[in-house]
Amino acid sequence: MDLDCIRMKNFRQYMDVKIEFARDPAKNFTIIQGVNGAGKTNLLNAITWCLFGDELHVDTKYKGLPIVNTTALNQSTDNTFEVKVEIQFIEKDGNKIVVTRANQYKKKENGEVVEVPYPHSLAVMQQRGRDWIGPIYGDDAQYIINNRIPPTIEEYFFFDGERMDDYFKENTGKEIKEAVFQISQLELFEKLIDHLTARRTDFLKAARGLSSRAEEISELLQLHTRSLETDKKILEELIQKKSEAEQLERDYSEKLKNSSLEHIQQLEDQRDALNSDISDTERQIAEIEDERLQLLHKAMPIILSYNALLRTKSMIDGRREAGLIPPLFQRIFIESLLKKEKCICGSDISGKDEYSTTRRKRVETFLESSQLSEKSNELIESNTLIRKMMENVANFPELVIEMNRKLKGLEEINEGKEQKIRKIEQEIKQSNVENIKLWEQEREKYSKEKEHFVGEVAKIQTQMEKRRKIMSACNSELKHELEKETKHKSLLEVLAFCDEGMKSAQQVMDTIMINVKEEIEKKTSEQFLALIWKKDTYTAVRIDDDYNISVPHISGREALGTLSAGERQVCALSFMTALNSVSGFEVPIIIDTPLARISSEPSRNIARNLPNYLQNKQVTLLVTEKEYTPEVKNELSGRVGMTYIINVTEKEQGNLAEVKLLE
Amino acid sequence: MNKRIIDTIEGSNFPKEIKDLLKTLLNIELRNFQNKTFLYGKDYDRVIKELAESWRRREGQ
Repeated sequence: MDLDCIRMKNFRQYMDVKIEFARDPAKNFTIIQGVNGAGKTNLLNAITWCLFGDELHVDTKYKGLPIVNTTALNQSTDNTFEVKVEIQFIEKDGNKIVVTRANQYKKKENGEVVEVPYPHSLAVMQQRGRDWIGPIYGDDAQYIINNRIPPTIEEYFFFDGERMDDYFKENTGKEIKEAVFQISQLELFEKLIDHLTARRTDFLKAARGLSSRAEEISELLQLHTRSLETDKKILEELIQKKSEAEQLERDYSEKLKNSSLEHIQQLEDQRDALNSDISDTERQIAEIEDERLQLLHKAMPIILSYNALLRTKSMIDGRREAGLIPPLFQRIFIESLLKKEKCICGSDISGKDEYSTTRRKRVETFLESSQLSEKSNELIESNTLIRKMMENVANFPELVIEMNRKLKGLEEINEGKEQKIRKIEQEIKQSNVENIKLWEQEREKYSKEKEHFVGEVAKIQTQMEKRRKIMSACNSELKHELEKETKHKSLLEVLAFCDEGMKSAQQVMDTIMINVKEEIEKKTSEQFLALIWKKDTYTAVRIDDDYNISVPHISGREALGTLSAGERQVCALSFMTALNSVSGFEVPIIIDTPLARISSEPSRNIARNLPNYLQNKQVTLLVTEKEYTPEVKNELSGRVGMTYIINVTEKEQGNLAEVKLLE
Repeated sequence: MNKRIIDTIEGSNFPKEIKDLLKTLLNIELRNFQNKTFLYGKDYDRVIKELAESWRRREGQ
């Protein structure tokens, strides 16, 4: 991305200045020459202010002062005016980007200049072929700029040469490492690895919580299934045995019925009839018991909460008697009055004057106190429901008493019949006929056996029912656990993927760190040795693993601490340009006073070599006349496309700078 | 995004999903850095789960 032009309006000493930059790839150096104080650094600041809203290279003498041009301010008829910087870039594909930052200022009566809020201070226009997109404002505009020139690394593209000789004094190895991390965006990689590690930890926690019991439940289920099969077999056997005993009981009963003794036949018929009656009564008893159970199920929750229901009903009735329910006004009605700003009596309640404000407040207070209205319908409905519930259980005691009475009667009837059966049994047993006695004993034996098997069948059926319930619960749990297991499996895969991602991220980061360090070291060293005027004095510039810089002297001793100011500036310049070239960002370079501390012959050497190390880079040098000597000019001439001079006029209201094109 | 980083990722022999993961997460980090925002959890989870799923399917083939 090339810098095409900048236009500054009312920015510090620039009242209305436009500068175009050299863009010819063969001659893409722009020289802007000016005496100290002419406004070279403020030109650099105009760029950072336009791009990032801040003057990043401001001189202490300007700190705290508004950026306004004082002449323009004094010429303004209404004491308000605009400060505007517009920069046009041209991207590699030929499309333009225009960044404009403008602020409005006002001069107060006491002479103080204040900024007036301006909604669209920053605007970006983007060209796409024959179309223009924009203006794009605010954060979106800043995003577009930051994507091309990250603000954190701007100082490696727009830098002050005069301060460079202090670079290695001010910056430790740790800070230099941070600079390298920033410019090569390795800090993003560090964050990525940290965040990926944090996510992995959370996934791991979730996976632990999902460790499945499916296998355990599955085993339990299998155990119950096998037991149920055994139970089924036992049940079949018991039913078979019960049937056999029943059949034998019937057989002996038949024998008694068919005996030659008429008295025995009659007794046996009576016993049959009594047994049949007992069965019928038992059915009736079972029906009433079932009915009673259903009544209990239905009434019990109401009976248990009877006191609470009674109290609720009494409270609602109390509110009703007090006239609180239903409310006199519906909330929605009061709200509509407030909305219409007119009371029911026709008074104005708009709140636009003192009286209507008082009335409005009264209506609002009324609205606040009528919160109950929203609930009143609900309460009225609840009361009806409570009443019905209480009515439903009102006759519960009578019903239960009546059922119990019936049951007792039926049980007594059965008891009487059973006594009669026992008498019949005794009578048959006391028969003088041996066969009759024997058949009765056998019938009784098989009857008892049948009863025993009926009990056993009921027992095993209950056991099987219980088992089925457990199995049903196990099945539900198993289903749930299997779902968890699927999630668990999927989380384990996510964990494995995170591990792979973290390993790869670390690998990429290590590779880039090594490559970047080696490349910066190589480029810094090459540039320093080419730019430095004392040939055969230093062997290299070294950067250790902790990014500490060293400059070994030919004698073997460390020389960084003993370098002259000019040599340190060259070393820093070499380091900066090396950082710049490894950054991967296509951003133009602007260097303010690059040769300030360097004497004439070394300057000439730098001028000769610098273009070689800034190949394919668009460069702007802000220089003083002292720096831009005929020798330097001559050395750079092959690469310089445009040269400007800043002329300063000192005026009563402040300095004014004009920028004139020389070549 | 720094071209060197993208080139290093692309030039590696990592599976496609890992390359996509690193590039996407780096973009999230860059966006958060530029917007001065700190929340990353939801974005990370979405990207990780999506890519892990396609990684699993491809590895399973």
